[in-house]
Amino acid sequence: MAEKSKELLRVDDLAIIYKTDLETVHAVNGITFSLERGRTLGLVGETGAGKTTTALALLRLLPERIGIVTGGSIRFDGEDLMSLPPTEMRKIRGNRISMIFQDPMTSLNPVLTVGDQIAEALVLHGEGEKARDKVVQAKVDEVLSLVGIPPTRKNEYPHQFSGGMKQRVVIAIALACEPDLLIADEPTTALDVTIQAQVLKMMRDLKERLDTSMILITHDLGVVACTCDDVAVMYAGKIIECGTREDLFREGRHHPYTVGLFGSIPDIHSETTRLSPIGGLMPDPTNLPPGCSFSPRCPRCMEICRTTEPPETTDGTHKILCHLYGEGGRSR
Amino acid sequence: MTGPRIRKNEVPLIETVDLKKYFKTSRGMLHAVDGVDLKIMRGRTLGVVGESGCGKSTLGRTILRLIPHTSGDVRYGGESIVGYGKSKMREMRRHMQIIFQDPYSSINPRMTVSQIISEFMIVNRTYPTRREIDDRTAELMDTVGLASRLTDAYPHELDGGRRQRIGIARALSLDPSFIVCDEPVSALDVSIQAQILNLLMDLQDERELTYMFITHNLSVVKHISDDIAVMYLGKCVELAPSKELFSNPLHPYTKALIAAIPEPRLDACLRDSDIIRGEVTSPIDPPAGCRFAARCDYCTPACTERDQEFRDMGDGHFVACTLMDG
Amino acid sequence: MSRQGTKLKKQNRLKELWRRYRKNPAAMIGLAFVLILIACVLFGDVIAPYKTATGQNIRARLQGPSAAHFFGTDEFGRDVFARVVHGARASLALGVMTTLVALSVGGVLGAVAGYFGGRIDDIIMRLMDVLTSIPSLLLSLAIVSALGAGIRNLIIAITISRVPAFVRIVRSAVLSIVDQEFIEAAKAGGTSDTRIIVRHVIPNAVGPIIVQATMSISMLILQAAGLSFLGMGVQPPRPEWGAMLNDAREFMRVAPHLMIFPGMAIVLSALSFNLMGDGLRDALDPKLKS
Repeated sequence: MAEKSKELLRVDDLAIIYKTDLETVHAVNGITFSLERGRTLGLVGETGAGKTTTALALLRLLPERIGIVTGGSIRFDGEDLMSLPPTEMRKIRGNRISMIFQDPMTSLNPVLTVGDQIAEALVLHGEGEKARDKVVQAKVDEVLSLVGIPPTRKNEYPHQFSGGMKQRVVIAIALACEPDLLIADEPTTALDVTIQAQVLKMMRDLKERLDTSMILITHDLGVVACTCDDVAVMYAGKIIECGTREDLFREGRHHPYTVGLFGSIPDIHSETTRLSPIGGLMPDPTNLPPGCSFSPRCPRCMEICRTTEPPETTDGTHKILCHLYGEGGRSR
Repeated sequence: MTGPRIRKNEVPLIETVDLKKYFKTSRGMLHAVDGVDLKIMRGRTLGVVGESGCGKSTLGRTILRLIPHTSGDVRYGGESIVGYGKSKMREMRRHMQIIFQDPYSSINPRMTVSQIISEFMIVNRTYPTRREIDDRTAELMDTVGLASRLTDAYPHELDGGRRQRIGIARALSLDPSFIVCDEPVSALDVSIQAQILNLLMDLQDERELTYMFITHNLSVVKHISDDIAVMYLGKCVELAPSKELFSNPLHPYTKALIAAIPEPRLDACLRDSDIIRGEVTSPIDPPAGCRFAARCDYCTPACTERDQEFRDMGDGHFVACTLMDG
Repeated sequence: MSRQGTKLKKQNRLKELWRRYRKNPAAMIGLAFVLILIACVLFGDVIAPYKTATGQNIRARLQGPSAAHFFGTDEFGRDVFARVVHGARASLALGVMTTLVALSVGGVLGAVAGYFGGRIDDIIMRLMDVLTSIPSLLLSLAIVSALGAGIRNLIIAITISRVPAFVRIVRSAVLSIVDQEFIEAAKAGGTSDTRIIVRHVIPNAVGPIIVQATMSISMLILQAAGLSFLGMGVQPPRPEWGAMLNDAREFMRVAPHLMIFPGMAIVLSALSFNLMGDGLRDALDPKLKS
């Protein structure tokens, strides 16, 4: 363990486009972040912010020919993922990096029993010769009880499980090979609140037990607040603000978009009559505005924001991409 | 429901009396809505909150008679509407509208924005001339914040928020007094959600609309509602003015729901003790007694012996739980 | 203010459809051949006078392909090229007519079954089950032999055998639409059932139905040719590809061109309608592909 560096994942200036005959979508526009072992990074943003695209790129699962990485690098445990041959990449996928998706209904094969699907994942990643092996079966039982499903249910089919239980199975499959990194794309969005609370708690406990690093993609700041160590807020393919959980949720300097996001959520403790949402809509990713992409919606937009890309202001772990806090801009 | 704005003896705009809706399934009777009594006063918002399968959407649709009820009564302005014939019901529909959750499946993809908004006015012959309908359509688009250049746009060219605005304009087109909002913001991004919530509240102020706001999101329901009804497996377990429900929840399920909200604050984090165990039990031929008993930490034999009465705790706070007995 | 704009949008949508369709080379080949077929029907007399297709000329019997007779001549000295060209009329007419009739009958029944459901649905679908349980060729044969041979009875026979397929397609298309919330919204707005079907259900079901109809044309061309081959369809001397094949059987060894050309015409037209249907499906629903 001693020779392992603390940094598990480092993404530098990653840029991704989706190219079709008709248009070019600028999905991710130069993002940089890193993740330390055992920590959870929350990627927050709204539809079209580029969260899922980033995740797919980490696994090299972008749609072929359409999704193109135009720049940047991804280093995972010291290895450059982008230059890895496909066979090597396949070994990493599932084995060292696993991903779980939002919809538990479509992530499971309806004609295989839950136990078989977990066993298959284990065998695929060299945890035994055959799915029927005692070793593999014992591991299946172990994984199932880990996610809070009685192992006696392993011979049941996905349709016999509720939504929350299915998501637990999906998580069990993702964790079966004890990956170093788990990418969870909106894992609880499709679940009811009380079930979401159960699953979030389970994920938090498991992460601690298995010492897995995690990237949690979500639009829900509440979920971030109770699960993540670090947070990166994405807007139009850029990380416009990032830092530790405390950096983001503490009062102080924030990107106007982050402020808008918080203003959009009704607070159950206060008696506001109207919310203070962000006006306007997400910019068209095929035709992003010059300068800061948030400038057309920004309540504090200045002249410079429309023409020049904002600089990064760093304050310890807290980084903000905004002219307000740059050298040229006025400070608050 | 009582409240500061309500005069004594005022007739509620919408009232349900022991309303039931059962669905026949191959495994037995599904009790989607199982004896719900609610009153909504004119100009007020009743939030109906609960998890999937609790019957909140079915309740909304049964009140609007989009699906036939099994038993009980629905009253509009004191008059029972469940016996209305086809033509009388069509007349009635002008006063009661619905806004749907899914901004994608709730509008016809083959019609333009103006066609969708004007459709109800054409069907109901609200205006004698096409000209007036067109004018009114333009006015509605303006009201809900749709730019006039979108008149001829097709839904697929628009994002979820704007589609939802179309749905709202369509619901407003007949000038209804009562609107069932069935999870109108659940499918939207947070920043768009807030825009739509504000729009709905503005419209209510301008037009004295009465809402039944169905949602699973407690922070949203608290924000928009005057009163809140908490549903669990077809039954209303607690009903109280919004502020009261959050400051003094009485039913164990309500407490669990409130505790499960992930709050975007540093100090608010899910505590293990607040997380309720288990999942919603089957709504098919449910046994007598409290529907929540199987998941409840305070369950006593009395809970499963008989159905729980709705008890008046004063100040418009009602709860169905044995804990509140004597 | 808006009707003109709507018209423009509709045009744009067609343009978009055409743009996507054009990208599929197989579909373009199919379309080209279908256009040739249509040209044969419309301008058959310009391409080859009808006289040469029916007029007998004993001196020029069973000639092979030549400059004078591109596809050669048959046992009565009739020009095979002209007969193939004019045969297109019967084949295309049969394929298109039967599809249209079957589509309208099946469409109404399917829409009613899908929209209303319940007992009406049961009755219609069980009737269709009975019809489908009889092999379609046998059913058509039985109907033609009961009513007598001839183009009109052929249309009736094929239509009846094809109706169940359309009922099913339309019903399932309708079922997937009536579930959607905009239908519920229409009901909430007091829209009548007829208007809901006409204005909300059918326009959304049109895509898959057009595709199926196109595919069905190719099937029915084959079926019509098959029945004519058995002598149940178009009666001589009117040229028809299936009947031509039947006539050619005796001369298969001495004059194979008598089989090859009408045979090819049948295969190519069936294939081209299929290619066109495939292309239309992909163009109408780009999500299905990839």
